[in-house]
Amino acid sequence: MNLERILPLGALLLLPVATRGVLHDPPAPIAPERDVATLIPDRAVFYVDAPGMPALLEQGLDHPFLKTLLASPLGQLLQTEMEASPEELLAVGEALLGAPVLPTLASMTRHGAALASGFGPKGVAWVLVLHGDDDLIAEEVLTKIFDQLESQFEAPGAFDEPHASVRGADVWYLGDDVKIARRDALVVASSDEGYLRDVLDLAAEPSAKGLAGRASFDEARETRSDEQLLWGWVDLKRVEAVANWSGSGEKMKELRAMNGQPAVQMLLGPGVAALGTSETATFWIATRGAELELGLAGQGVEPAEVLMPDPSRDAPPAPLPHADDCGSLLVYRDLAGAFAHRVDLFPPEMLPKFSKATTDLALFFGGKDLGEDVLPHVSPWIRVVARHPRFDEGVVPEIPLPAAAALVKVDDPATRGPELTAAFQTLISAINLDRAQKGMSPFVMQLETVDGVFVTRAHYPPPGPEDGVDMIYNFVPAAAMVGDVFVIGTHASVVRDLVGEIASGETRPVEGASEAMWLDGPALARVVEDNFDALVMQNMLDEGHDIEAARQEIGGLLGAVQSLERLDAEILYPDDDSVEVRATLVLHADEDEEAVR
Amino acid sequence: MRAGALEAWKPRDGEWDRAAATHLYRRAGFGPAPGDVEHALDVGFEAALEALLARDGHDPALLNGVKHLLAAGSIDQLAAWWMSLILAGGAPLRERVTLMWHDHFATSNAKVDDVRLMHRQNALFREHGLGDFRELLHAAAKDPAMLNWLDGNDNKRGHPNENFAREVMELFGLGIGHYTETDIREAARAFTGWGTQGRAFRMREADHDPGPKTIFGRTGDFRGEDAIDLVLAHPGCARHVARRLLEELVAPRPKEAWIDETAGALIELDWRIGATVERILRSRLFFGPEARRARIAGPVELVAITVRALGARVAPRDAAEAAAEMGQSLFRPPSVKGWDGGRTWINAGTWLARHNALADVAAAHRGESDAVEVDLSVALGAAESRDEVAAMVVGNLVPDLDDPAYVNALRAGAESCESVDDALALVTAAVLTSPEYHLL
Repeated sequence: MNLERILPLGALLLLPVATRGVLHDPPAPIAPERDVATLIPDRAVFYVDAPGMPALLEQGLDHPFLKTLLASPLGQLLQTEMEASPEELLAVGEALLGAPVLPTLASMTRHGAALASGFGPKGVAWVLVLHGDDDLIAEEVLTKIFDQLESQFEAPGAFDEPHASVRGADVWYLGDDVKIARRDALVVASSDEGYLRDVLDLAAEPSAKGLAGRASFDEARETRSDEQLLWGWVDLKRVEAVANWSGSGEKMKELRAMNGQPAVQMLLGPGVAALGTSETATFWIATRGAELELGLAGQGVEPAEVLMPDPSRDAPPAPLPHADDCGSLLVYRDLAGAFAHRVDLFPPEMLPKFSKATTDLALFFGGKDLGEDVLPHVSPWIRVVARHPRFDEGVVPEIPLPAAAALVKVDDPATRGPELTAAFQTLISAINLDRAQKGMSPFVMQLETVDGVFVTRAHYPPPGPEDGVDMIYNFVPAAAMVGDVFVIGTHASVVRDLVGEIASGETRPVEGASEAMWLDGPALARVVEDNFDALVMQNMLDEGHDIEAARQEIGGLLGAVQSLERLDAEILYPDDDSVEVRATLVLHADEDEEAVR
Repeated sequence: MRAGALEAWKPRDGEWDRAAATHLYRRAGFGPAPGDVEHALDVGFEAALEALLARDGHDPALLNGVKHLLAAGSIDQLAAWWMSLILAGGAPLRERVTLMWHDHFATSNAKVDDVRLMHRQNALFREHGLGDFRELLHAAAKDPAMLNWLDGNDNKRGHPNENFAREVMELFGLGIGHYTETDIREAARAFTGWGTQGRAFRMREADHDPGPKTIFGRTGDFRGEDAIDLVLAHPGCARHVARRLLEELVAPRPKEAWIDETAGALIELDWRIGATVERILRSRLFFGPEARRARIAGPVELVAITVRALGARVAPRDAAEAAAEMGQSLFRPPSVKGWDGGRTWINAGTWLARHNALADVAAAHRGESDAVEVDLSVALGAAESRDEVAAMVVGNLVPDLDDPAYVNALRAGAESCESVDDALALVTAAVLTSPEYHLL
């Protein structure tokens, strides 16, 4: 045998075997500290991950927020709806997985868990990435899931072996809809083959940046923290481009148009209206003890600059806490600015509405021009106080509702005070004219003094003995000028109280105001309690429930409201082109729970 | 008059059947609930009728719960509440006549614009609806909603407003042909001063015309109450009421002989509406062929009869809205004449509304409705094969119908279905949306 001739041939035959290791090296292990966003393809337009989830899973039902929630009436209601307790559900899960559910999920998400979506060949595609800390647990969980599927679809052995191997990962196809891959402790599921492969490619490259390499994503991620249960990001600019291209962009157009709508500006304010112009948006959910924080932020926003809050403008004083408080709101609505810059701010078709408002409202201001003569003298900061009123006259509405009063600061109060008071009186007269035409009894206007301040109030005559007390008896409008603060409200008792508090200085001065709101849980619960029977009846008619079912449902609603201690919300402006809305929901913890914490 | 149109019906063997029992439940109330017909057949005609008449007590929580709604001032909520009473079936005959008087003394919230007054009038019809007609007419005439509706407050000495007096004669008490324009003018003078203050009836003496008036040939210093009494004493009044009862309970165009006999019964029974209605319900006339499937169902009764027959769970608000879509908006009759009814219930728009609403009820059996929950196999019976479905559905929903071609067509439809359940939904939808079902 000519060895010299055989060796080259043998070497040629062995080449594929010898080079297999070189050409298809197993990918490097994925570093535990690797950011899960680097495993997501950078063409994703939606991303959500769960930085605080492993900690929550580890604590399970002992997590402070979950514990408070489950012990609250709201939690009990949710458990009733679920028809099984959390412990029972976890036991079912454990039986299916063959391992405790929460520790298993904690292990599977230890180094990150993210869900992303984008656009694929078949439309919207999604991909789920779980980066765990234990290969064996990941393998066992998938095996259990596949066993269940085989049993459910009567296809024994269908998932015994992987259907493919991609970049060192085993891949299984669950029909056309879902693909699942596992490489060590990394589990990937997707509706789209391209996304699945891209994730596995990124995972194989330790230095790959993926979505984390996108500047807009990276900047937006500054709002993310490890205590957040969920943190999400949306590339609105790219979504808009795809929607426009596919001809389904109506909703996006509406969102983008929000900023140019006077009604949106006035109702929601310049910050929230500007969210519609965001290039990207982020959102998050976080817990701190018994608190749940919800956040929404927009980046790359283009707010209407002239309408934006100006902390240097005078804000009305903040009343001290009052036993009947339901909540309070401080907003910035620069109506004078909106009038003055209407041509630049709003589309042409909106401008006639400003003219009409000027003409109509001149009636109330002695013929003065609203935009030029009235609004510039009123500070844009408006405080709204909601309180349970006192029905001192003994006429208690059958459906009692909280009252609201608005406080604004005006300049030159000696001149503006009488003007605004006269406008209020003209308004009542106009209402009376309308009611007279309908044969209805008029408001009776009265003047009274509180701490030396004149309060104008109006009320309906008391109802007849068999007339019942309609909802309209919640309306005892009143107005007063106290110092440089104009107070106008739906119920005289609240206006009276506020006038007294401001006149005697029982308020907190406000510096560097920002738009904020708070609601008092027990006060809201009182509204539900006061109207329980009416709500039950309404539920019976609207839902077709019998009285027991209706009582149970409204009782559940009451319980849910009773679970709420307080809700706070604020609008922040971290920089010139960002807006942030944060809401914090504080659950009511009973005293034992409080002591434990 | 052939003697004895109101002669008591003595059913012979087999005459007290599903069709007769269903007919009774539909005309004397808003239809049977599942199991009612079977029970009625078990106990016999007399006992079934007695039980139906005795069923006269609403669930207090439902009846009195309205007080929690009135302050909100929503007429839609009030309509939903009334529909809830109708659907619950606590007092079927009472609700049937309450609806009849709402149509007879038609008053609309579109003008009254006061939910408490509309409720008070509704309660008045419920309270007096089966009582003495004379009391009902007096009470309805002084009802504040009625006075606001017919401009009672504008009827003043020297400037009488004839609206109210005209409707008392033309619509409420006599009918056209029994009075003159002079009678109306004079009666309007008698009613001067009647009006409202707040939500109460008020007699303004200063506005009353105290001079002598001549009504139906009689002269006196009549006041409003006297004018009502003169209408009641008129021979046309009992016939007018009798015609109304027969139109509601028997057939849309009652024969003169039936009217005479019923008017006689009304007077004989001292104007007691309930007793007169009972005599009609016991009569050969009521169960005779001229009364069967003689009327086009009005929207409220169509919705209620269907929901009750199928044991469906529907929110009363949705049921009231469905009836409104079909042309009958509770508390909002279109004019002082009420709803024209009969063939005018059906036009291209209202037929589509009927079709869509009833098809939705049938579709609910397969969970395809957001608004309705129903299990047809519980309400209509559990068929073992598709072949049985057509006869079973027809037997329940249109038991009076004797049309083999109709049943065969349904059977063919059932055969095309993949399952008995699908067949049940399909055949029920076909029956509910067929013209035959809309005849009561």
